[in-house]
Amino acid sequence: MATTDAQPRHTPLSLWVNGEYRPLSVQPRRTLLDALRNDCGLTGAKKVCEMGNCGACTVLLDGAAVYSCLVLAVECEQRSVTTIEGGAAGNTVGALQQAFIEHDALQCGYCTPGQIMSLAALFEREPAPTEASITEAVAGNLCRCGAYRHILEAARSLAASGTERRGAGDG
Amino acid sequence: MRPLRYVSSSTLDAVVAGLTAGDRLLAGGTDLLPLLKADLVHTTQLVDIKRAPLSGAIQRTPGGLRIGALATLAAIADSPLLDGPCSLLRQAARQTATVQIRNRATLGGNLLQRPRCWYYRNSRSDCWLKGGQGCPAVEGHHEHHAIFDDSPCRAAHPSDLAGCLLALDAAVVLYGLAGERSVSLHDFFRAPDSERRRETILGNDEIITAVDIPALPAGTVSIYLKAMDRKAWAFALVGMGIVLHRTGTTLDTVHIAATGLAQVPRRLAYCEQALAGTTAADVHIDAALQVLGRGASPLPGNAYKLDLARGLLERGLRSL
Ligand SMILES: Cc1cc2nc3c(=O)[nH]c(=O)nc-3n(C[C@H](O)[C@H](O)[C@H](O)COP(=O)(O)OP(=O)(O)OC[C@H]3O[C@@H](n4cnc5c(N)ncnc54)[C@H](O)[C@@H]3O)c2cc1C
Ligand code: FES
Ligand code: FES
Repeated sequence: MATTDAQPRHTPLSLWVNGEYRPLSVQPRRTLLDALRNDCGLTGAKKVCEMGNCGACTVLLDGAAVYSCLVLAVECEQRSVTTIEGGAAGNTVGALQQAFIEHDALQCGYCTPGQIMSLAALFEREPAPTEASITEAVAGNLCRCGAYRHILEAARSLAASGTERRGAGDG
Repeated sequence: MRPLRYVSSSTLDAVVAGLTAGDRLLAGGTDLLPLLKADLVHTTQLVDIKRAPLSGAIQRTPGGLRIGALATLAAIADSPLLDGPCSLLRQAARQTATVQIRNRATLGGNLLQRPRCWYYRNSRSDCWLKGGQGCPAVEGHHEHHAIFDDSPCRAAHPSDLAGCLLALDAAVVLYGLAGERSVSLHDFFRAPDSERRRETILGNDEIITAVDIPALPAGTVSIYLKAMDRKAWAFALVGMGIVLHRTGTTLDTVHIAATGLAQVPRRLAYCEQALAGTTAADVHIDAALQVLGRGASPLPGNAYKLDLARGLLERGLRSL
């Protein structure tokens, strides 16, 4: 099938990852997940099913949660990607990481980066989300250890402090 | 995944010209990329239509509403323009897949997604839809398959939105080498046959540019109910879209379309006839449920879908 003509070259790609400019050179068939893990050395997003069936590869693309196994890297030219490595004290991902630690919201930890990124997309939009929004946000992230109850508790605790923060701001 | 080239085109004419040369269109990629990875779709060039002059807007038109092919399922789920008569579309979009998929998946891609049949999706299994001999589901595992026997293939159509749009009498706008045409969804979806092992009549040189929904009389109500193996992130075992309008207490419009029962989304015409012109009293609902399976030939492992469909139809009718 593949003739010489059909062999695509590497394509230059400018990506912004966690606020940092990342010039890369990738084959068009490379997924965003592989580009993050192999070309950027950011292995936080996990590679599990590669079919959109598990959520372990969830990252933010221009702020929206996506499965990075179902996005081609070349689709992300000049776009901004946030991964779990972007977590720091004072930002949403960092606050979620802290809440997960405090609520023991992980066992093996393999699904954790995906769970946190799905929640980060939600909390960036709604600092004090409802129970229904929280459940909807993580409905696309499987946890094979069954840590769901603690994951939801971690999210609820952050939602509650979001409500307090908002209340304080309003008053 | 095999090596590919990735391009975008600045005109629709260039896009459709490329189609005849074997290009594949990439929209959200949520169905195409898994099919490419499994080696079930072959191409050497992907054309990213998100960069083409195509719209994803949801807007009112003189005739009703138009949704651009690039509208994401997330945008459909969130659009206040789709409240009222079209609210079943928002409900269906909300119940489709997960947040991550809805952020990427487009309406055009959703209508053209291929069946979820495990034989079709397994590159090692031979199946009629992929050009093989028979449909292995008939004698094999067919719990999720069609109960109507309209094609040599028993896979059920997976799209939640397609059934709803069929209940709304929507039409797709297509653009190809011969220009633009509008095709009603009734004609667009057609059970695969030996000349055309696909679920639609989309031409090899055509692209979907939009979906048009005709205006519905004020007071029209609608609902989409979906039965799944689990509460989220699952395809419909059966999906039921219902659109009703009453004059006084009499039903003068009754549109019912099901997902998961046939190779393509299916209007349940016998049920509609049993209800049209009635007051949807218990006897009329019973009559509609009685004729729901007319013409169906369920397989041993999927006859339960008839009961599910009856349950959803009854619940939907009573809630509207
Ligand atoms: C885990 C998972 C769960 C899912 N659950 C559901 C569910 O519950 N209900 C449901 O309905 N769906 C479900 N889906 C399917 C999902 O909705 C579809 O994959 C999606 O809508 C396809 O849209 P896309 O833009 O990603 O299409 P793509 O993958 O980009 O394209 C799909 C096909 O359509 C073609 N195409 C795309 N746009 C156009 C156009 N404008 N004109 C012509 N051709 C075009 C492409 O060339 C390709 O052949 C699920 C998918 C996954 C992975
Ligand atoms: S690896 Fe992407 S969803 Fe499982
Ligand atoms: S903590 Fe192990 S999979 Fe979720």
